[in-house]
Amino acid sequence: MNLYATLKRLCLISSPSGREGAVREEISSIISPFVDSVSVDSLGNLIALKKSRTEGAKKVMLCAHMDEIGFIVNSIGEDGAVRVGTLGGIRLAAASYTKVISQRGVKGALCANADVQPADYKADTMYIDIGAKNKREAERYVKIGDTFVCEPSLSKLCFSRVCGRPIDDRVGCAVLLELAERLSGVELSFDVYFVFSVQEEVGCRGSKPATFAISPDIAICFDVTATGDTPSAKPMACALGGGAAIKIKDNSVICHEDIVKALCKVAEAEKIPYQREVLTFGGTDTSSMQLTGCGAMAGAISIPMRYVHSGVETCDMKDVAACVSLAEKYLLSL
Amino acid sequence: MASEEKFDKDIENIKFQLQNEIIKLCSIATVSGFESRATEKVSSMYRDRLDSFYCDAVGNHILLRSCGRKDAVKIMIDAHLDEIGFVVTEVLDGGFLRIANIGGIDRAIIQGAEVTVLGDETLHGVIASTPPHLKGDDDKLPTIDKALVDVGLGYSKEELEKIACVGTPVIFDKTYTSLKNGRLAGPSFDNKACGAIAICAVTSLEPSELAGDVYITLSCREETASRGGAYLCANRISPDYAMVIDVNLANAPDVSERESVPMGEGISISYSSSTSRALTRECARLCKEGEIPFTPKAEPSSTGTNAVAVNIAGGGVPVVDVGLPLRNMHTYNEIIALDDCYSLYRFIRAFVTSRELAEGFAREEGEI
Repeated sequence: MNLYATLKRLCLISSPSGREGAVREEISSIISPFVDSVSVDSLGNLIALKKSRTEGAKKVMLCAHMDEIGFIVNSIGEDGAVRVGTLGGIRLAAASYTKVISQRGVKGALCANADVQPADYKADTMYIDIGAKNKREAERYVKIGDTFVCEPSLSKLCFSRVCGRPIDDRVGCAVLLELAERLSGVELSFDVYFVFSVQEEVGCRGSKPATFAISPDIAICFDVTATGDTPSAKPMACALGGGAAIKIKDNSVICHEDIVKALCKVAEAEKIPYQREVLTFGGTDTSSMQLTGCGAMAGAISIPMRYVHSGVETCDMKDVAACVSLAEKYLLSL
Repeated sequence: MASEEKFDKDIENIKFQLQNEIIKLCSIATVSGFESRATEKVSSMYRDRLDSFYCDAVGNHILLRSCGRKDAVKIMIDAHLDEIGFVVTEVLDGGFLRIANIGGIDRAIIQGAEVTVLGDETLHGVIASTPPHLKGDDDKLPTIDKALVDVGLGYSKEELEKIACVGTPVIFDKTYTSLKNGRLAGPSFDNKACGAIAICAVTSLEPSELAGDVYITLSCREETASRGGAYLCANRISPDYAMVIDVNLANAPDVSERESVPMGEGISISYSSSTSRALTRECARLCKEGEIPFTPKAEPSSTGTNAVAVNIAGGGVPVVDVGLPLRNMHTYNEIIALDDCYSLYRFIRAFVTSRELAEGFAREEGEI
């Protein structure tokens, strides 16, 4: 498996929160050969299980979310302008004046009302121009409740950096797929659940019932994190190219210290580049896995990323590779 | 006369004991998210007085005092163990650490505060402050994620990283002062004072006196994870009924009377949509019968405490929310009144010994 090729394949399939079917099918077909069973729960989470031969084995849950931020159509004006609400934390200033595409493949331009300044952009002062002259024309292509996303793309920048969208969190999915392949011939003494969750961007919803059903002993999340290495960034000791980020804290979770220590120890021993991550904003599925049912020991391996939730999300493939290696060696150390 | 004097002396003794136990538990560092670090210390303090002691995967500490009877009701008493603090976000040259807050801390109170950095080695530090001489009139306080701890010159970044890497918790120094009239000032009374009182009260009783098995949950992450820790505890224990104890904003000059409770006049009992009306009514009755002073407090939608989470855990738990009045919340000099602590102690004893509660709130077999 080529990590970049997998990432690109996943990025180019749109998957707004609540409408993750297409990406789920793709991931399901890639992971099937590497695991013992694949199932989809009632919310749409994809759960791939690699069973151990041990009776009553411990359970490790690895989770990356399949959904991405997007828009949902809530009304269509007489002038044919398609009005939308947001799904997840859209940065409207970043999304404005870019091309968007609906679940039916209808393209449009996301624009702001002419009398609104970028600082005041809100969803209800934006509209999608799909090229329709009036409401009737627009309704032939768009229905209330249709979803739109900013156009997907992925390109290589200098060195090992890649840029596009939605790297958040297809990169986490790609890491899990690569990991599943690497572990496919390996006997482990515990069950591994690869969970591709839905609706993370709208409040870490999908991972809750998945965790409840699995009831894992250890839960590790794979998602992106911010960096402090761009002009005027918030202070943060995390940089692109600095290696896998071992999460200590974000705004939704404080990771179990033993998991943090174990991950750092593995990284040191295996000489995998890593950095300790304290994110003072944002949340991840780590929190919902930690706090469901009777609770789980939770941690996260994060992929450092610049410009999160924009069309130019930027990662370093070396960091991505480090995340895969760290996860692999950690599991082998258990 | 003589017996009354002895009675007063007994009360003073209990208050003195409560003060000691409160300071002992509050002195243990339990920064939200790092509660598991305290397991050894908490366990060694209480294990001998309990039937079981358990720390779960997240950092909840569950203490069981059993009544010794089969099929007894399960009574849960929750007081969160975690406290506010800081975490190192960046290690700088020259003996400085950048920190961010864990839990709600007012940036106005932190400059110049003494702190302890809980790294591989314990370091003392002071939160850096800009002297007034160097400030303009309009200079605003720096945001809390820009705060710096000065641990003393002489460290290079690399040296300091070995002792206190990114992710190391930091706490306000623990100094306790007795004020007049049995008032106590210091950090972390929120909420370990309540936990310490609960343990004292429950373990002061003989098992046969208990109306059921009592689970004291010193739950984790109240300050940071929307009360998730207590929710996990209630899921695990599945209690018949529960009491959540937390500190409550106490009245002082310039504090809105409507949003606070009087200090030194007993505990507060919340009337809220996230608590059980029936259980709350019974608790008010217990107070009246036992002449335990209390103030009813209307909190229409939410108590803002773990009661919200315990109430909806498992199949639903009847819960009462009880408060210990406290001033200067989330500072290093919170103030509590030992009179109130004693009222809380008495109320908890009444709660866990009440046969009426055990009968009235026992969940029936197969109840939907």
